[in-house]
Amino acid sequence: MDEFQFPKIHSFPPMYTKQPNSTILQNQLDSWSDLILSYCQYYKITRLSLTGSILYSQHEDLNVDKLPPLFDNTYINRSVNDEFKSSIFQHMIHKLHVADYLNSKRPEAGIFIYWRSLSEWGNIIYDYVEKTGQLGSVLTIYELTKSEDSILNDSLKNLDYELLERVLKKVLVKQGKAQVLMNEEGTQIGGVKIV
Amino acid sequence: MESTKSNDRDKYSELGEIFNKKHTEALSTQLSVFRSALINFANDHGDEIKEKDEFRNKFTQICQSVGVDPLELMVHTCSKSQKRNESFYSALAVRLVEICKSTREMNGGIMSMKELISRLSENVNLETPITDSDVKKSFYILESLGGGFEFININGKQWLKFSSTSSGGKGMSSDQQKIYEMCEFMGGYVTVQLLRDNYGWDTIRCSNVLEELIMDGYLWIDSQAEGGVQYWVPSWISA
Repeated sequence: MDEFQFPKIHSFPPMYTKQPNSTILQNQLDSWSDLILSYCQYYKITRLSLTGSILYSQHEDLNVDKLPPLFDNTYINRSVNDEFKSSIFQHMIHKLHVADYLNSKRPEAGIFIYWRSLSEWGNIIYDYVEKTGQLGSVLTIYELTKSEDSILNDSLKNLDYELLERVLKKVLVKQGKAQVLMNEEGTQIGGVKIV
Repeated sequence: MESTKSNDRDKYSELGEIFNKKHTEALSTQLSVFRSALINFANDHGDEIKEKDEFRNKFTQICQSVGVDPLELMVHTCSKSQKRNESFYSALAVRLVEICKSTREMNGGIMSMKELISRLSENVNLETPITDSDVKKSFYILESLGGGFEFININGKQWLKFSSTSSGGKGMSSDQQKIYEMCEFMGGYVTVQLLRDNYGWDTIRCSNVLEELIMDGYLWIDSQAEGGVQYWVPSWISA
């Protein structure tokens, strides 16, 4: 897999300093959000820690340590400090709604990066189930995301369980398109019926 | 023959010059006499000038034709009567703006109260000198116009800062242009050190211009550079 090509703004030294002018700061935060979204989309990263380390990628064989860092630029010797990272994520979560806490009571659990919105994810799941003629039948999480079946939609392959759970509960169940069956321990989703 | 001719010519032009000089001197004496007469007149009839429109128009015309600033006269006459009224402060405000405009290239838009008062008092013989509070009062008039003028305190002394871009005007001062030139030359950024070394600006002037450019969104700060803060033009990104 080729390395992600950062846009030129990633080499702009002031990008790594939180700007004092509030108008510029909004631009800067927007730019960082764009950057994070395209980086995560490229590597199919759906979850980041609050310091920006990668918590989940759909690419199984991705060597996370070898990836070019998002918040550091070694060529110009600049990096984003934790306080500024937090401002960027706040901006993505509360202003742009392109990210969200896994658990808002425990921010340290990390955040989802929505380079695809929850409802887009919902549509992909629904379309896949519909196209494969499985509407109304109970599917396991394995069948939805891990199956070696070549019909399996590439977008869904290895989908982050945490994200899948959120899409099901926040979108499909709410739309009345899905019923979720919990496993015996009641901790995880055992199966889904898309209707 | 040739030499005497040129001698004659020299003599004539010499004579011409002397006449011209005398004439100019006589005229300027007359003018200054007339000026002081005008000032006296304004002193004596200040109230009438203010109250009667037609009278004021005529008076202003005369002032302009002999090169006397009617505003200056206003400052002058009002300062005589102990209570300084609105028109005194308006006139002072206009002078203040003029001074700021004409000195901006020199000082980059920042001037001490002391210098300001001394410049304001220039060419006006005031019986009671202009004070800090006079300046402040005329400053409020400017402020109500949406000014771009601001008093700041530097090391316990009052300075007037008159920004050029944040007042809503889109013009760029020559200091700001110089910063852009430096950025161009340096490949995107400037530092205070660079400005000091190359333009001979003092630190206050540097930070004043830089601050303005940052506030107007023209410069981004990079505080991680070795050897001090760098100020970058965002146009670098699209260049």
